[in-house]
Amino acid sequence: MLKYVVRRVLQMIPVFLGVTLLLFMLRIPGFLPGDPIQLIVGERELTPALRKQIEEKNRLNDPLPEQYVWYVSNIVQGDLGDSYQKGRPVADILTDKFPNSFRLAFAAIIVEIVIGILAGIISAVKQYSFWDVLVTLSTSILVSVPVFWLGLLLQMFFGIQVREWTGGAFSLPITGMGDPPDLAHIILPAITLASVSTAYVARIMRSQMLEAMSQDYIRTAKAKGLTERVVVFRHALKNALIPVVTFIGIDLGFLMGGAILTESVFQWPGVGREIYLAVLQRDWPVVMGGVIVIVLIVMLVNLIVDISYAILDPRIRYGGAAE
Amino acid sequence: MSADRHHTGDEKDLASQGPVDVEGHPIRDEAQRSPVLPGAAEVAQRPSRTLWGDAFIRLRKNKLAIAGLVWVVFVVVVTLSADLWVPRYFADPVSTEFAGLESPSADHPFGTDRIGRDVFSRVIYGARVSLAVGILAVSISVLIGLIMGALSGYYGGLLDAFVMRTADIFFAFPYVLFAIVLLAILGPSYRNVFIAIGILGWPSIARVFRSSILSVKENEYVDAARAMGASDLRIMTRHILPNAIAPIIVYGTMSIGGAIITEAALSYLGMGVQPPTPSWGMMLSEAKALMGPAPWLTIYPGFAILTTVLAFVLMGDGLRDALDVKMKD
Amino acid sequence: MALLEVNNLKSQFFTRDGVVKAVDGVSFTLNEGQTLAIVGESGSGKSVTALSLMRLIQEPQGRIVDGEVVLSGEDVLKLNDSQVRAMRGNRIAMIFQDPMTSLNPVFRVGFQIGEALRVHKGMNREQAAQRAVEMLELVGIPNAAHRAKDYPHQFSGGMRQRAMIAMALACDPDILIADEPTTALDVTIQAQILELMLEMQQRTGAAIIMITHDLGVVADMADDVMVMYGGRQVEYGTADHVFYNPLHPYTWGLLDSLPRHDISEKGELCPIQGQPPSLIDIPSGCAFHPRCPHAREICRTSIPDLKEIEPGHRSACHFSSDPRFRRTIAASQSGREVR
Repeated sequence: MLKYVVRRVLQMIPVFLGVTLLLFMLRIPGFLPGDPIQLIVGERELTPALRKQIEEKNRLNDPLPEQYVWYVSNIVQGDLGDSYQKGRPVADILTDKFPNSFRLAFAAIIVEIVIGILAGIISAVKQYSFWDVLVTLSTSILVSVPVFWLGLLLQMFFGIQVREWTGGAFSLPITGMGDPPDLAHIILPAITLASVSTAYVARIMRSQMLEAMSQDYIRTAKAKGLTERVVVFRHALKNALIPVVTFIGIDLGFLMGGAILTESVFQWPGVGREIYLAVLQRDWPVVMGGVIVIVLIVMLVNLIVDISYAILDPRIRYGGAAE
Repeated sequence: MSADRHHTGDEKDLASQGPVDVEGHPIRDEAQRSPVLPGAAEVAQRPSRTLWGDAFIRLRKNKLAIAGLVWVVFVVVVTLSADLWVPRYFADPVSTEFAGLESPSADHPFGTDRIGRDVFSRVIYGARVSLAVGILAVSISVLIGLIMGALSGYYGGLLDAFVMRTADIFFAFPYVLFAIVLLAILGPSYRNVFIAIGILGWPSIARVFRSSILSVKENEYVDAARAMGASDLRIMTRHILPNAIAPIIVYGTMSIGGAIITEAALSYLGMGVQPPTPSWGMMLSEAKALMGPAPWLTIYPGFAILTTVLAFVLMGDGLRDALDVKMKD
Repeated sequence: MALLEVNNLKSQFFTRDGVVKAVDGVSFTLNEGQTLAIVGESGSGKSVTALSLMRLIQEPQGRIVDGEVVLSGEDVLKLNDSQVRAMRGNRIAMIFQDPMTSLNPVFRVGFQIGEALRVHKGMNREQAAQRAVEMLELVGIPNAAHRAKDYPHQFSGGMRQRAMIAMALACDPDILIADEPTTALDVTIQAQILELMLEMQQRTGAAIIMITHDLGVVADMADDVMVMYGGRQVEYGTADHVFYNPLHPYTWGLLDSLPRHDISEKGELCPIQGQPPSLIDIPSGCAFHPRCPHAREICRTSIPDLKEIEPGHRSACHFSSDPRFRRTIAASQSGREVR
């Protein structure tokens, strides 16, 4: 097991270096639109002394390999540079924004787990019933809905229509996260962010459940005299859950990395929206720093998922047969 | 892979019911089966005739897939012929001859936008952008994906490791974020949108193709072809590709829907197609401020995206079932 | 009174292509501690017969449409769901063909053996675990206390089938149904498993219903043999009857297709020609007639009854009671001694 974890961590290193190399290329002058020095200087007057100072601080005149080593070692030490626009360290900006993205991600994951898994189980256990048809149809539609449009529709309905119908007595907040942050603000963004993944969770859950229910060991369990409930919820579910948990875990990694579209529609002050605004303002250090941290989070969560997969599935835990 | 599995299944069915020869092998009555296959003549030369013939029959029975196909054909016909009738009966999608917002009416079935442009004609012209981006982007993904998948699956070794680690790097990035950064570098434009989406899509195709190759490569006829001195390219195009194509078709069809959504999202964020070219995503972004007074601005373009993407998803589902392709969802 | 009495059992599956008459009127009796072998090719209905006894036919596609299954005076087919569950694994237990897939991969072997004990014997987790270890010891798993904590994939095929036997016998059932228990195993392991089953039978006194396509497996074990073809029973009698005085041409065919070492090495194998019938479209008359080298007109038109030819020995062939016909068959078989 320990060997497996070590091997997985070692596998991450080339991917991390590849990502940093890609991002490092963006630092090479001329690759990105806008003169970086001019962007840093902003409204101030660009004197030769200031230019020299900026060039030295960012090692812009060093040979590229040295610049890369310097760049990676800075990242490893948590130094992501300073924002062109705000002058603050990128790491500080991200530290402010990530907790907000995490809040939203966890709310969305709860929606995914509760609704997705339940819908999938009901759909599989009552195959071909009304509920099954309903779940199958609505998941097909949900995966085809652009998330930002779903967000707009929810805003229109719960923010505007419901308020008109109730004469202004009731509506859900449609922007921001509230001050202090409250539950009402997170409902619509969480549903929006979770929508597509919930549909996938329900689909995977359904097909895995049906697959598990057709296995020989289910017949064995029935032949033992176990009740239908124990057969379904102990013997089938534990097998079916393994791929579902994997999917949810990987999805959590991506959700925690900020959800640009959902955060933009709901003006949620998360890291995704921050990066998007930085792109519009050509604030490259924020973009690059944000991307690096997000990729790290995704990789870390994937690692945790793989390890918990191994814990859930004894064939991997003891077989050592993991790829 | 699926070709083989399907083939054996077919044989088993025949064995239990059909005529058998002395050794118990089923006698395959070709003459009797052929007329059942629609378009049998045209598929007769294909390497695995039963796969494609049966797939076609199964696809025809799938009502949802047919509905998807009909909708895609309808959208294509409407957008291609739009120049002939839209400006005459409705309005030029960029003209502003009517000042201000109007709710849907006989003249403007989907209403008009803030500066008086006809939403109906903009939705129809928006389909051009969406379909073009969807198809072009997926073509790029498939092209790169086939090459990369072939390199890694066929040659293996270091090349395989390199390609697969590169794919891992792509998978480590959140998709929309990657697209936005890419477009920030390339600059937002119609052409760059499909290039960006196309570049981002190759790793999935490469993985699918790679695993097909790995399973096909095991077959003895590939060894036989190699022993007879066939070149790598010939083995690839004549022996491997025809047997690995089914998952690519399924994946490609589904990807077109995904590419259309991505294009809409990028245009919504202002990183995609630039005005005045009408695009569904951009229309939604303009509609946001008028959500209260003019809900039609939000509803119709979004509905256009939903139905078109759904059509491709249903087609993809139908093809997957018909071609018996196993996917990890 | 017999332990188990099955009368005119009929099980059918309702598919899109038509009704599959998987079991079409099967009757037999089983006494305590006895072994009955049900023999036939795949698709002859033998496995469905077994599943019907356990009421494990997958509804709603499959249904037991007629008959009686009387277990110690009680009709199993009339039990409600909870009564059926109280019977399964407790009074009738079953082991399956493929031990690789019949154990749940995500639960420990000991836990899976203990499950039935907790349901039927009201044991708590510790008691069940303790008993599971004893059962594993009993079926010859070395270091059982340790192996009970293993997962199925850590067991070899033979060990898994031993674990399945331990699981089936945990509640001390009256009847053990074994559905091709050795088919998926290596030849050397097959003998060990059969020996284990005999040993366990002597120890527990359970009756065994052994389902197999391999007459060789049956020879040493069975008291009675029932031969099935196309969902119907074609011959039924003691093992001696069926082996040494087979009455039905199909049984002859089965015996001839066995590799034997007691006849000369030149003796050829004689496989039965053709394929088992489709159970949707069973041939008219005697289901075996299209493959029977001795078929006549009547075989095509009328279904032969299962008639008692000699005491305790029944056959469903129009000509079984005709001594001349029996000789004719015998003469046509290569080098087989006729008694």
